[in-house]
Amino acid sequence: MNHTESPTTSNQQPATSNTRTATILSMKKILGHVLWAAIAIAAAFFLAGIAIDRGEPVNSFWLVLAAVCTYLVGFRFYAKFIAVKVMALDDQRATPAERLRDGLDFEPTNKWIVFGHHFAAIAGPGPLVGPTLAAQFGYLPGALWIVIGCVLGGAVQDFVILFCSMRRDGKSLGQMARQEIGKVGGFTALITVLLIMIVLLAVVALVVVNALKGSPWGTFTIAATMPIALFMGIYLRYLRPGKVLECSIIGFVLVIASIFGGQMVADSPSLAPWFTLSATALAVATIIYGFLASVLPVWLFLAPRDYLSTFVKLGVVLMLGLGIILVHPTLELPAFTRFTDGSGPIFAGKVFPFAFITIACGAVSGFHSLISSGTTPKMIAREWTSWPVGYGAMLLEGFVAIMALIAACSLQPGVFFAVNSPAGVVGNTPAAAVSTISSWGFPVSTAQMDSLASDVGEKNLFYRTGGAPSLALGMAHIFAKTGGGRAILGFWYHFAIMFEALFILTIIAAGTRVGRFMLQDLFGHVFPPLRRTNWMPGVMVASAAIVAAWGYFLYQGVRDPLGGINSLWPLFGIGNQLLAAIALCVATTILIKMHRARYMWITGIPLAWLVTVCFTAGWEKIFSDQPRLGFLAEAARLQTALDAGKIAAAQIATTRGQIFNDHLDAVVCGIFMVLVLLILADSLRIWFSILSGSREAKVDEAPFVLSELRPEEL
Amino acid sequence: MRTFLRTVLAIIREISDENAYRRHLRYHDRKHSADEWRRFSDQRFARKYARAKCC
Repeated sequence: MNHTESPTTSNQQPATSNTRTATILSMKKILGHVLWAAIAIAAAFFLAGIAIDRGEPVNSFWLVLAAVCTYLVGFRFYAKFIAVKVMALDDQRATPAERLRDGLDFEPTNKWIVFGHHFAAIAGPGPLVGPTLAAQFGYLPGALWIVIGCVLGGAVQDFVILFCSMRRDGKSLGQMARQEIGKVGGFTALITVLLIMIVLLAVVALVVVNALKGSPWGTFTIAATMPIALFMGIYLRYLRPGKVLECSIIGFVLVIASIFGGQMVADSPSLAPWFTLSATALAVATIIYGFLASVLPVWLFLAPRDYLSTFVKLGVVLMLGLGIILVHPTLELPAFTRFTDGSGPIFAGKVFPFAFITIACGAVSGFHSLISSGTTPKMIAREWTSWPVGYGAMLLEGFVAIMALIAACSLQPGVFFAVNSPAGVVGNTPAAAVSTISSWGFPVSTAQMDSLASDVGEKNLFYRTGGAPSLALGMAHIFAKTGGGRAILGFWYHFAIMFEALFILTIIAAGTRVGRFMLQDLFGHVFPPLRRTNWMPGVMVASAAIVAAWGYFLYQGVRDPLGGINSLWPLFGIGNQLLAAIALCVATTILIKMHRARYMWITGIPLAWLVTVCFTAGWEKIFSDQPRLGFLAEAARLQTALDAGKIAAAQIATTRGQIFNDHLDAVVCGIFMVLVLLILADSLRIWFSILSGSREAKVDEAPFVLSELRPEEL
Repeated sequence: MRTFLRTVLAIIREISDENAYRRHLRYHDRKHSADEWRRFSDQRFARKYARAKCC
C-alpha cells in the first residue's frame, strides 16, 4: 500500500509545490500591478497638485514626489517598452566592451559603476543654471518641462543614441551621422558642435564672471583653486603617482580651506581690493585661464581639476537632495508669473518657446548624445544595462534640475528678481531696482537686500545675472536650515559659488582644449602640421583662435547693458536643442533602417517638438520687432538712435559695437538653423526613400557575436 | 549595506581612473610604478580630453 501510495504522493508533492509557486508568482504579479498603479496614480495626483493654482504657497515636496513618481513610471513602462519592442535588447549579444576589449577604453564594467560614471559625465552646470533662469516664468512651466521633457525626450534621446552607438562598436554621434545619413550630416554635426561649444563656453564663463564680480571672497576662493590644481597635478605625477583618490581628498580639504581664506581676505582692508575685480577684469582673467588650460600639459592642470570638480559636484548634488528632503522648503515663487507674456527681466520672450530652450540640460540636452556615443557604450557589458544607464541616468539629471528649480523658487520672489535682473531693465541704482521690482508685485527693499548681502559676506547682490548667485543663495538657505542657521550662511553661499565656478571653469578648460583639437583637425586638411596636437606653434595658434572666439562672446556679454544672459543663454539653448534634433534625426534614421518605422514616433515626436521650439525661438530671436527680443530690431533701434544723434559722443563706439554684436548673434542663430535644416532635409530624404521602397533599408550594425562573458568578470 | 558601500567606492574609483589603471596593469601584466602610471595617464588623458565635456 505504502509502495503504491508512495509514487502517487511523490507526484502530488511537486504538483502541490508547483501550484503554490504559481500562486505566489501570480500574487507577486498582482501586487506588482497594484504597486505600479498606485505610483502612476500618485504621479498624476502630485502633478495635478502642483499644476492647480490654489492661490497658496506650495511645498516643494509635491514637486519632488511628482517628479519621482513620473520618472519611476516612465522608467518602468515607457523605457522598457522601447527596450523590448523597439530596440529588442539582447543580453546574449556581445557588446563592444567584450568584443573589442583592450583594457583601456573598451572594458565590460559593472552596471552601477557605468551608471555612476555616465551620470558624472552628463551632469554639468546646465541643469542647475537653466531651471534657475526659467524660474522667471514661475515654477510650473519649468517643472512640467523637466518632468515630461525628460521622460519623453531627453532620456529617450540618451537611451536610443547609447543603444545605436553600442550596436556600432561605440561610434561617436558624428561618425553615426556620416554613416547613416551621409557626408553632409557628418560635417554638419561637426560644425554644429564646434559652434555650440563656442557659445557654451562664453555663456558659462559669463555665469562665473557675474557671480564673482565685486566679490573678493568668491574671487579669492576660485583663484586659490588654480595653485591647488597645479599642486595636485605634481602630487599625482611625481609624489604619489596613481593615488587619485588620496590626491582628490587633499585637494578638497585645500579648497574648503580656501573658502575660509576667502572670508579672511574679504575682511582684510589691505587684501580685499586685490581680489575685488570688475566684470571686465574677470572676463580677461577667464580668457587667459582658458588659453593656459588649453596649452599646459593636461596632467598638470586639467586632469586634477577635473577629478576634484567631479567629486565636489556629485557631493553637492547629494547634499542638495538630502537638504531638500530634510528642509522641504516652500516654493515662494508663484506657479506662473506675469512674465509668461514675454516681458521678463532675466531674458525676453514668451513662455513658449523660451522656457523650453532655457532649460535644455535637465529636460533634453544635445550634448548628452556626445557622451552617450563616447565612453559609456565602450563600458557596457550587457545590452540591457543601457536601460538604467541611458534612460535612468538622464532621469537622475532631470531630478537634479528639479532640485535646482526648488532652490531658486524657495527664495523670496523680490530677492530672486533683484539678484537676477540686469541694471538695463530695472534701473542703475538699488533704489530704482527695488522700486521697479516691487511695482511688478514682488515686494523687496534695499534694507532687505543689504541685510542678505551682509549675511552672505557680500557688499551687493543686485544685478548678479546668470543664475549662479541666486542658485547659491537658495542652496545656502537650504543648507543653513539643516544646521548652523544664519551664522554660516556666508560659508554655504561661497561653498555653492565655489562648487558652481569650479566645475564651470573645468568645462571651460576642457572645452577650449577640445575646440582646439577640432580646429587643428579641420584646418589640418589645409596645413598638415596643424594636425599634430603636440606641435607647439599649432597648439598656440589654435588655442588662441578658440579662446578669441568664445572670449569675444564673453566680452560682448559683459558689456551688454541687458546683462548678456538675455542674448547668450537663448543662443546656447537653441544650439544645444538643435544638437539634440541632429541626434534624434540620426536615431530616427536608424530605427527606420532597423524596420521599426512603426515606432519612429518615439524619436520623431521629440524631434518634431524640438524643431518647432528651436525654429520658433530662433526666428523670434532674429526677426522679432521687439528690440529686447529680436537681434535685428535691437540693432535697428540703436542705428536709428545713432543716426538721430541721440547717442552721447562717449557712447558712440560702444553703440556701434553693440550693433555689430546684434548682427553677429543673428548670424550665429541663423547658421544654427540652416545647419539643422540641412541635416533634417537630408534625413527626410532618406526616410522617404526607404519608406517608399526606392532605397534599401541597410543596417550598419556590428554582426551578432554570442556573449561569453561570465558574471564573475564584472 | 556592505555591497552598497563597495559599489559606491567602485564608482568613485572608476571616476578617478584608479579602476582603469588596475585594468591596464592587469591587461598588460605589469606592476605599478611611477613610470607606468605616467604612461597610462598620458594615454588615458589624451583620449579623455579629446572629447567634449557635457554642459
